[in-house]
Amino acid sequence: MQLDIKEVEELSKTLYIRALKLLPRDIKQGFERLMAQETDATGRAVLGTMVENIQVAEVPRTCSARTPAFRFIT
Amino acid sequence: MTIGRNVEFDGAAMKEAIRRGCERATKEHPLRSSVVHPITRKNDQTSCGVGVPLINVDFDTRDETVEIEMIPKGSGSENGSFLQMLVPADGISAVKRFVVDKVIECGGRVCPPTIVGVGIGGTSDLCMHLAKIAATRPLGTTCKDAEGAGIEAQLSDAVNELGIGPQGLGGRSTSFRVHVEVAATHITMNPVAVNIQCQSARRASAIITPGGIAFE
Repeated sequence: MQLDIKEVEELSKTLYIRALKLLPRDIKQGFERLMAQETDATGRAVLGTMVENIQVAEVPRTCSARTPAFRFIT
Repeated sequence: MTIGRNVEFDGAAMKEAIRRGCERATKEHPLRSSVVHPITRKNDQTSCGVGVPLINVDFDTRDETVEIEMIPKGSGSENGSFLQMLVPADGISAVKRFVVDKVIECGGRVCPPTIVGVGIGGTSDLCMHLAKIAATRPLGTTCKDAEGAGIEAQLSDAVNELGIGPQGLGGRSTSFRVHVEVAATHITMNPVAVNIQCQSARRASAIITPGGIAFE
């Protein structure tokens, strides 16, 4: 396989944006686990606010719309 | 970058392409450029500068694959970084105490709940590198070294008994997990490093194969 340098550049751009805007799936699942285990009222309230913040921040908009036309594997 | 077998590439061009990708993302999306010269504090508004982005290249046995993982690191995930060159006489108990002490010292400044990355062994630079690998390893994964895995479990329980809680406001959810990575070290050394990854855990990766690109 010959590595396409232009593809590396586009992918780096996309990954940089995704890393800054989308929370990894394992972290979202981690929040769910912590919510289920947290016994402190303040801790639960703060976790709830953080989860809501994540949901609001990831409302579909610019990131996916600006993703270049790669040959995605589904 | 992790490059598999049977991949032809121009290494210098590859590194330049990654840098251009970061620059273009910053200018075209646009994103805030948070990278400055360490002395003049001049910001080129590109998220790049002297020695940045740091590009780690490794190789593995997968055929015709190139994996790229982008891990932007800001102060929430870098200021909580510590290295201690302990000696063997201090023992593994001093390693554990160092980790717990640093989690207490950081408190809410590292935006808990965190992933506490711990490097044990190696040289000073490798030890910190291990801590960063540990901090950016996905949740649900375990240290491949049995002794390291045991310490992961012990420290994960310990840090969540400190009462720091999410954002440092109290509670048991101080850390998603403590992750440990280990490497062999010198007979006279007992190094430990900590790199605490804030709750944003910024990372994204994809794999290039002849069939296309798969995002993880």
